[in-house]
Amino acid sequence: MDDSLHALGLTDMAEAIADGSITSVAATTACLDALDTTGRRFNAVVSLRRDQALEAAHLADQARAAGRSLGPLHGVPMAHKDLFYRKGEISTGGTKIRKDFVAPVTATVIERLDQAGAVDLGRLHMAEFAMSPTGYNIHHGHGLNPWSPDHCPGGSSSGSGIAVAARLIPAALGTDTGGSIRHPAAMCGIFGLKPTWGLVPSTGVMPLSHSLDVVGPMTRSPEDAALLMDVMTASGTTYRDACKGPVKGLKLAVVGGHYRAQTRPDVEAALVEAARVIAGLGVTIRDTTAPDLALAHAGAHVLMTVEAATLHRTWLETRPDDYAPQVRGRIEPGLTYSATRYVEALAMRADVTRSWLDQAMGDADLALIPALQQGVPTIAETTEGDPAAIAAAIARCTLSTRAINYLGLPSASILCGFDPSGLPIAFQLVGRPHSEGIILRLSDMYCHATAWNLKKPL
Amino acid sequence: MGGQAAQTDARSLRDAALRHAQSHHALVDANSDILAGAADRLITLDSDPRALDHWFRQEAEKQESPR
Repeated sequence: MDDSLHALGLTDMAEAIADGSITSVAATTACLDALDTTGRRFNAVVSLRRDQALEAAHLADQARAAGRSLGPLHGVPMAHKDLFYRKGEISTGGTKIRKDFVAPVTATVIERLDQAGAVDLGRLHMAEFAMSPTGYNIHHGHGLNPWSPDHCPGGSSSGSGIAVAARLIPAALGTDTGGSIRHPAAMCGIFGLKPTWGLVPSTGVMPLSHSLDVVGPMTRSPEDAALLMDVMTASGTTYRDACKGPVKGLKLAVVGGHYRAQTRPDVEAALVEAARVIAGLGVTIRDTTAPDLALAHAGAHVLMTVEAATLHRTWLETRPDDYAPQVRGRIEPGLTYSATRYVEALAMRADVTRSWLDQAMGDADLALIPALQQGVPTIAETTEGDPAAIAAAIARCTLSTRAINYLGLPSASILCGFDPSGLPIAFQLVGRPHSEGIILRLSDMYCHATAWNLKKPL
Repeated sequence: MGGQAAQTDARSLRDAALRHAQSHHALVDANSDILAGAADRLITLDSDPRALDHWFRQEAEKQESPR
């Protein structure tokens, strides 16, 4: 699959269409065909907009022929997690309950991609109501990891992770409430950026928890993610420019404690090597220890479950059997927390975040922590057998991710190697609020130094 | 009377959902204890549930461009 047009990265494809090396119709056709074949085989696809996409691609080619540029994504095909609304079109949210739901509005980020000239190919697999870190979906079937179909692709933005990793499309959007961009990015071996809470507009995106949800890019390179950040935040070339700055003199905290307590030896070795490579780029490394995360984890759980249960209460009462038990069970605790605990979880958030930054980062610019301490789980580990063992396997996926959403901080997942089974290993770079530019810059330099992100699964 | 019956039905459904949700009481109790214990130290009359939002907005305004 990898020698075809659909295997181009976002920036390369945008440049090739802009300079006339390829047409948008050719790129769009290649991506649609790849999604329709390989994408469906790995259960990455929910719906394709073939006719609308090809019409948009044709218009993009006509515009170019007339000397008009539609924007930085002129004619570039993309597809997205099935919770980004487009007015008048079905948006399932990965659910049975919303299988016929017609979106009343178009998501702001989708409008911005349209305005930048992107071609919208359709919607991709996701966990039911964005409620699983593994890619589990009882209604649509489990997403399959392109590196090994027995393993989880990660969720909840599972289709985005699969399709970008398998080189079916150049980039996709995802959302992240407790790791839902970073899990599939880590498990599928691509670059995923969870921006600072509140930075990217989430209007017209199916919510799970307003206090935690963020929209972000899932790409094969930090440079491609910077391009999407510029478009989604309407910030010109801000992130692309920041991505190209120097890294020498930056300080990186390598955080221990909780973040290394359950780390598998091969994952540990990959993290140590990643820090060594980064040090070689002129970055000063210092070891720190994470503060106790019990309060951040409790706060994240209260906010996520109470806000989700508020949105879902009527359906939990009237259609409880239309939820997968695993999904319903993750929302239900929100019905029973007291209102006082909820407000406390909100009111203590800034204090907890400052404490984390002080202890885990000190005076460093960024922090390095694992993405998945235990590596990529098999689908069987997270769906079959003893319910307690399943719950534990699922919880292990979010050990290093879910607190970051409570803290509201930006964080990227970056591929840094492969385990003995050939599954990806990844680390996170966590930054201070609105430090996406530094995260992208160091990630970009790391990817150029190692070329891990050029490895292909198929 | 029809309205009253509908109210009773709705309450029954709410009660059933709540009973099912209460099977998670151990997790809810544990997290509630953690939050309440921290709140004893951290929550004051001046605590603001929007404090993180205010802080992040100030950070965004301070930066004309990302660092």
